[in-house]
Amino acid sequence: MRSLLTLAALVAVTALPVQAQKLVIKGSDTLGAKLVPMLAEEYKAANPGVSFEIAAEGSTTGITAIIDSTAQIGMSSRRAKPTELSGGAAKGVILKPIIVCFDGMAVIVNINSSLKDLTKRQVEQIFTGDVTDWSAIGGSPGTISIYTRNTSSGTYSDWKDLAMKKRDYAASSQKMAGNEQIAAEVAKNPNGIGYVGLAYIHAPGIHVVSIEGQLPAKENVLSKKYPYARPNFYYTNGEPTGEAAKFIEFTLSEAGQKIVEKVGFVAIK
Amino acid sequence: MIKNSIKTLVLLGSLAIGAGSIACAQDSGALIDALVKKGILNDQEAEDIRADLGRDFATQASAGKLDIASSITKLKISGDARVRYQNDNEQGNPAGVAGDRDRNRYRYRIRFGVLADLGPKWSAGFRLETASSATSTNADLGGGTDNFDKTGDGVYFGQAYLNYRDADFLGADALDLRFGKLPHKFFNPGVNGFWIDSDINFEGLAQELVYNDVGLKESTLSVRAGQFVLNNNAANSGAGPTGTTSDTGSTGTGSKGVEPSMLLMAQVEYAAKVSATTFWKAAPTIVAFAAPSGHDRGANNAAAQASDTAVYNDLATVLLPFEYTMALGEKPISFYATYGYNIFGDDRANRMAAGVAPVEADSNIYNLGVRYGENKFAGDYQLTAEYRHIGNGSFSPLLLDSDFNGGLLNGEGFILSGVYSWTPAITTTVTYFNSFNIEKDRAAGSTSGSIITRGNGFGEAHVLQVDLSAKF
Repeated sequence: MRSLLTLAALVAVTALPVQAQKLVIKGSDTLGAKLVPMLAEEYKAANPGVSFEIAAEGSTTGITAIIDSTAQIGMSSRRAKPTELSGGAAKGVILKPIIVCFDGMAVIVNINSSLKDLTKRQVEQIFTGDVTDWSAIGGSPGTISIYTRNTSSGTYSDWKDLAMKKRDYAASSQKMAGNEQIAAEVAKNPNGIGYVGLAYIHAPGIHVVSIEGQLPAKENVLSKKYPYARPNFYYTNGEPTGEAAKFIEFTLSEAGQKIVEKVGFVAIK
Repeated sequence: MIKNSIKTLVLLGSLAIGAGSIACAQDSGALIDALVKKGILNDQEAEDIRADLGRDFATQASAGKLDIASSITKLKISGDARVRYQNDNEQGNPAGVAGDRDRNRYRYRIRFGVLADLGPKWSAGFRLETASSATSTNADLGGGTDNFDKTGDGVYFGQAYLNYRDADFLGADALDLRFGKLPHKFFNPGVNGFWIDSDINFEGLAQELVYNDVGLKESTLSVRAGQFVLNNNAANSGAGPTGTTSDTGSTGTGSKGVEPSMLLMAQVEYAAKVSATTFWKAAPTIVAFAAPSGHDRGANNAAAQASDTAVYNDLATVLLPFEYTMALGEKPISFYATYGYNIFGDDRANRMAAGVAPVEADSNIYNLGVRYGENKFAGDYQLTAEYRHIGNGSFSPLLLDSDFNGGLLNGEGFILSGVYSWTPAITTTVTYFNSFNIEKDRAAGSTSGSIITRGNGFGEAHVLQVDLSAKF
């Protein structure tokens, strides 16, 4: 009996450090598809004892994971909603936002499109379905195909807030799982239009449209001249601690922010 | 240190501005953005403040605790509560045949409505009411089977509908489509409504097209139509007129129709503004019944058909409501009138007399009224006087205002009403209805008083109502 207890104690003691050095990060596809995996690889290189579990299934899943305590860091491309803040508070969770980079949601069209610039009003008309043919905004005739993120995406709701005056998407819009899928569909469809984060604007077969003369360039995003600029967040339960705090510190460090820029986002400093 | 002080100041300031307001967190957003642009706060400090404010809003403000579906762009809650003392004195025609009664009634009603806008064009609504009757939402105090019990205190859906609005449809400036159990838009001047009781919510489809500036500047032309289900006749499925599948009753062998009995209405309203205080409107209207068998399977004899509760024929009444409003002193005064004539008045009058005696049909229905004042603010009042005439074959008791002459035919008389506003939301209303038979020596035709009275009306009826109402 005594030997069994000793064995159990040994297992517990040896398991603890392993568990403490595994970081579970869930949430935004915008952050989780490229940036955070690259940050994790760099961090692991300097901290070989740390392992990562990264799930990029949309900002809503990241914030929910913090509220449910199933992740140490939630990735989000939008701010937490009041219902999420109150839902967290009800469970004793204080959702703490940490800006990790800035992004400009870029409007993309097929590379063969002659469209170079849109007004904010035209963007609203296109994505709400008020306008359904390119000829209505000076383009070549053709039914507009709209590609958007799915409803669990922070980008999906941010786009409604920033570009559509909170109106509903056109019923004909097609919902994609991630930025890469949107870029791929627009590249295949001469009448396609969509929006992607800055990290995805160099995908083949697409080009970025300026908005009232402003491209989502670094200076325009930081100065907020580009109308669809937004911060991207990590969310934690209160002030981050332990390995999560160290990883966040690394993300915000000069080395981390270099990776941010390398991926295509705008660094915070 | 300085920035911490500013953060505290913004937080306190925003909370102070937003105290009691549902928009606390949202209002502070612009302020925070401005401070970031001026370099007083950095982006991370701004996010911390946003999160603090958002959390306070979500956990402390009442509105923050509500989770409303994102498809709802606007939510309106409205309704009213009313308590009423009512005295009815009704004498039969001839005396003693039907419905002699003298009673005091203590009543209440609640109407609670919710209307949700689902984007710029669609909305959905419902309204809960405290009575099942089509023409009344009143419940009686002490009306249960035991002291203070709740058997008479039911809640019913008075309205449940979808609404679609658009512009530039068929050249019209506005389109309004309604589906379900709906509030109608037909122009119907009179105390409590006249030829449409104000408590009625039609069931079916309604359409309206509005054209602006037709002929005259600042005028509107509204074209309305309604297709309403009076009875879906589902009970008749597989059964003949008397309820058996092999029936060969009065309406013919094998009458198994399940087509609905319909009320069809159409109205063209022209409204014009003459000056800032002078308006007029006129609205030619037709109201007609359309039924596959003319009546429900149970109404297969003269006495039953005289009830008019399940009989949907003999009605094609053409009406012309009119109203002229001008200023008298500092208050508006309106003169209104309606004249109507039932094309099938002879048939209706004879059927409603249960076929026991030839009837001198009166196919005319009309009212004349004057209304002075309006109720918007505390101290406002409104006075109304109206005369009504409802011929024995002119219209249907299913639709008429139920407070005048019991909502029956063959009656004429007057209504006096006064409304006083204690506050913009609280009013007291006193209304007196006095009606008399038009055809005084009409044969009773049946000992079944409750059936015959619909066509016969009361010999005389007095109704006094004193209301205290609150709207929200």
